[in-house]
Amino acid sequence: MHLIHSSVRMDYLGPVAEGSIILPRVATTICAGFPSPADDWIEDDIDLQKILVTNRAATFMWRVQGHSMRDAGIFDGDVVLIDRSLSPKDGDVVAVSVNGEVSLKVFRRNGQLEFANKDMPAWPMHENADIQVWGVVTYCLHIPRA
Amino acid sequence: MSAFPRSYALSDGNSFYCSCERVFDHKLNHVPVIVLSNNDGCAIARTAEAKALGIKMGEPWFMMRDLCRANGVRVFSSNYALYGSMSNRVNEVYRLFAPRVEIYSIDESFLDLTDVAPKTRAELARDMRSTVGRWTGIPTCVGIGPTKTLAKLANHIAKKNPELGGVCDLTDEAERDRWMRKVKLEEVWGIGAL
Repeated sequence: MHLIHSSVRMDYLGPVAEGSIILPRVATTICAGFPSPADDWIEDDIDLQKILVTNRAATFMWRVQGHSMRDAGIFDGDVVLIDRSLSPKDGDVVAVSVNGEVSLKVFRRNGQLEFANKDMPAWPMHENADIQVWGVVTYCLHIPRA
Repeated sequence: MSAFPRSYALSDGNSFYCSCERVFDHKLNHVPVIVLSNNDGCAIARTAEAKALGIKMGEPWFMMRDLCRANGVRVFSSNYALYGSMSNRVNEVYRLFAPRVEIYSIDESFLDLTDVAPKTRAELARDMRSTVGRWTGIPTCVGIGPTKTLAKLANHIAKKNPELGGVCDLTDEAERDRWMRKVKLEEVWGIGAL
């Protein structure tokens, strides 16, 4: 059961493997005879790893549980990449540890943290809570299929 | 050839296995934590809080079970997949600071700092320490010396003297003499029993 008023829950999945996830940018077929007129325009394949992970040592994958980040496009069951080497900027989605519990929040310049779900009441930031920014969310992997 | 005399750093993770667990659960931050060996045989990593309770390295679990329960010690079975992964990350950061990194164990690496100007070595070590901490969450100590044994000794001094901020540089001879007078002989790596 998910409590709609609570922060998302986070489960650490693991590190990002070394290596590459290569997707061909163009599909070419082998043809005997006339050389392909496209050959001069061939570009490198797209390396998803390079796009998604800029700092491997500092990047961690977590699975998100809950609905409090819905308006930021992060849904229940999504996987987020979190880079600990980045300093949060106003409007960034950050993983924060609140009294030891890791969850996602929107970071505001004045140090405020917010839910991203307009159907929820404002996140109550307690003055004495031990709050530490754990890392900045750089990508969210969402599976759109039913 | 370098213009400077040879210099090594020994950097290691503080209570490494326990620190790995703490990265993902900050509730463990101010409580005693220990990690047990395979099949939960004995303590192989202890935080400062656990050491303060008198839990010894290698102490069998059955002998300290009651003590741990009575004092709220958080006890973990070892999770080597996690510790290995965190170790890789830490070494990846070391490689940004030193051209040659020799991985000595899962939580200790020797770094060749010969090419770093002597006056800036401690500063580089402090910068590295804070980068490792921010990127990976692992607290480290760095010892610097003209040999690996002295780097190891410097690391030991950095650990035992929190006022040093986790970095001790023994490349300077006068500084080295000053510290070595305070260290018992058997605390030196490779001397004495175990």
